[in-house]
Amino acid sequence: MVLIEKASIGQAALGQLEPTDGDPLRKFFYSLSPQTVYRRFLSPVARPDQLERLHLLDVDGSQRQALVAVVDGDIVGVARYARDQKRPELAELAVVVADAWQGQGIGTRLLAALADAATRTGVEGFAVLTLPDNQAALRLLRRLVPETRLRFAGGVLEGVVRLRAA
Amino acid sequence: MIRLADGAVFARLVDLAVCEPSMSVVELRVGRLRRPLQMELRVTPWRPGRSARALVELVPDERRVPLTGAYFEAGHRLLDHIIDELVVPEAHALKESPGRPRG
Repeated sequence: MVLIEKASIGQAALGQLEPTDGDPLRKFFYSLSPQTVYRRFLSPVARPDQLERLHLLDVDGSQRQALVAVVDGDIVGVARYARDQKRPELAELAVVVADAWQGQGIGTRLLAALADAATRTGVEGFAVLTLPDNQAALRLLRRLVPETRLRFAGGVLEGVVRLRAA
Repeated sequence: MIRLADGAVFARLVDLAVCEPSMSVVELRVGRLRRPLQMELRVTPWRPGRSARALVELVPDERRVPLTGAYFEAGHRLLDHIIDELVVPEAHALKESPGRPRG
């Protein structure tokens, strides 16, 4: 991974996920609780190989980009987007933070950095899909864009978070 | 008919001329960053010989998986699409013919 923001005392550093980061990403997956996995993937996932077809290491910095939060060399959070193929001005968003590091501002920092990176590549909004009971995700989105409004459909909250150009 | 039971996403009885049960594997995907879920698409003739009706259902491979509503909705859309594609003209003709008994 490539460091993009150094760590202050007691904080995580931010970096850019690279296609060669398979091992630390797998280690991160195994550190997550089943509930955190379920909230991220909207279904249970037992092993990381079940996610191979999501191409989570396929990051080109434009169509797909992923930022990681790192503490002592271990990934403790990932925020990523994948551009919508039909509407390239929109990108699907996913954020996950290790259970032990939730509630400490890592998601906020990751999402803010990802939003900056996304707007630089022409992304105008994040398409969001989250479970209604995921209050942390809802708070995170409203911190990024306070006027965020999501609608309930098919058992999930969905909507578009419009990004402001830097 | 739509039902949610026994691990099946849902089943629907439609006018579909099939003679033998069939099963194929399909995948439901919600977005590009969520895991696709494999499901069995089962088509079962319903009272064969008397009408052109069949039961169409999507059954998750992992029966104990608690699917989220997003996958249910994707399943509904998939079945609607499949049924639209599969409903045979004869079945429509049966519907429109007032003199024919319907099962």
